[in-house]
Amino acid sequence: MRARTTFRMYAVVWLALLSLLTGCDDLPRDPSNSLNNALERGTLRVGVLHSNPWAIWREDGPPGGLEGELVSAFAAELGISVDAVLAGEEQLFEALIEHELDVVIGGFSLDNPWISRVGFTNPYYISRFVIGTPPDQPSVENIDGREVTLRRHTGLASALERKGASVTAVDELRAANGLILAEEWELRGLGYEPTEVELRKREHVIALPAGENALLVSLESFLSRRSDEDDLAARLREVAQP
Amino acid sequence: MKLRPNYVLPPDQQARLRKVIVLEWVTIGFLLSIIAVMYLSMGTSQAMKAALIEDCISLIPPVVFLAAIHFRKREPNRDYPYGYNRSTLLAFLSAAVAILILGLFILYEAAHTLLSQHPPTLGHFYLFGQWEVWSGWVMIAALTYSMIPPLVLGRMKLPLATALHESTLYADAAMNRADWLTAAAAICGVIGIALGYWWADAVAAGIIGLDVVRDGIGNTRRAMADLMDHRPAAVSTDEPLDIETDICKALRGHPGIRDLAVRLREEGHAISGEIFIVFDTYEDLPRRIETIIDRALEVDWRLHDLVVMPVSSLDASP
Repeated sequence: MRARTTFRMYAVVWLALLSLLTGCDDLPRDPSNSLNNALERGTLRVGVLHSNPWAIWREDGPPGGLEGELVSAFAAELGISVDAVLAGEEQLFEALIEHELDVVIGGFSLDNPWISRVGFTNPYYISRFVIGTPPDQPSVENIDGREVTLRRHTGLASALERKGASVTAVDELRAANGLILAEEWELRGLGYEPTEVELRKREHVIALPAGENALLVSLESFLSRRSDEDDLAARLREVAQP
Repeated sequence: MKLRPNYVLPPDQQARLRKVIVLEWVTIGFLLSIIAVMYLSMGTSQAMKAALIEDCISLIPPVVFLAAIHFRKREPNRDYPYGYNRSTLLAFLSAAVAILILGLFILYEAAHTLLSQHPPTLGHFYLFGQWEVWSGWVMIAALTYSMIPPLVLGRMKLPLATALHESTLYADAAMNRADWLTAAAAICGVIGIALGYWWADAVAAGIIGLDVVRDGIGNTRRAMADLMDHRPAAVSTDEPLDIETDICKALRGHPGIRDLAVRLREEGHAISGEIFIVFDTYEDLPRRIETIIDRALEVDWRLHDLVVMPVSSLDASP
């Protein structure tokens, strides 16, 4: 009987404590104070890996590209400006690990090996490499024996060949005819119809220092308000226009 | 070949055992549901992945206990003339080793997090795909759920384990304790993370890990001791039960017995052994021995298949 009373008492204390904690607006906090420091400094330090259309370096202004624009808008919402730097991947992530940067952008996905060594947002956009058919042609389920055109250096040519396709790699997809392989947003821009044949899925994230949960949570809240897939795809198409 | 009679529990103990079997099935059911909840709420968190693996390990004691119960019901046969009682000891050993492995795993995870200096990154969780909640709160909810069943079930199992002399069940209760303690530690850890102390998680887990390792070592040693025919001891305290003395007391003064000595071993939930007796006369000995065995078996419900060995003196080595 006595044990039961103590148990009940613990449960009540426990619930009270929890509701107190979840009620706190400033939780979770950053172990290294990234968000507060950025607000005090008045700048969000952004590392940029140039990667069209995801992140585009601009000498004379805030970074462009889909992620450049998102991060700039996030900083604006916080009421601070963007202090951007262009560098290579290794240098950017090392600076991020050492808290010399607050955010790194460059079209990174969960498949990026650096991502597991830092913190990252929930995927804000999922990009799929799929086979597209020209508008006047029927959809396909199998590409065995078919001719497929793709852009050079996507790293997917051998995957296509394993599926039995004969592959043509080009610099410019616009001139292609027949089946092409590209990201879904791009296919639609070219007037192609995406099929169910998917060769790669990339869950795009933005990198932050590991454990800086306050900064992470506020950036994620911002991203989730901008996560309309069609809007993002449309913006990617606009940015990618030469 | 003379087969051993099968050990049958007294009726009140059988009732307890049925209750235990139900408890163990309930434990397995809850553990599976906890594993599902943890899996859904873990996201990319390493700490939650560790908690999930822990819950998988804690399935071992109830599963091996039920397996042992199943096998030991079998009658002794030509291939196993002593019966299947010792399957209980094998179950105890595997449950004990599982606790030890769990403890070492928790310690390794904690040390790894602290040494790699990798603060856990916890972002938003989308509850039912739409409500944005910090995943830390979701984890606390999942961990609170994972804490209650082992807390309650473990407390229910302890008195039954002692009453039934089931060391595997005792080990399982110890595993339940480890479970709810690690869940409590993980909750403290998540609260620590919320407050910006990223190392809180690992430190709390490390302390619990040490405790679980200590538990695991103790249980493994006892399981090995039982397999080495250690003299019967209480499952909860490991103190010798001293049934040997009780048998001597019960038989001393029995007509025709000049002197006697007893040695016993544990065979899981049953206890067996030999009684060495120096008789005054050898008249009608077989029938008298049978009476003596019956008298000795009444001393404790766990006693099973005792053998009486007439000797010329207790110092003689027959």
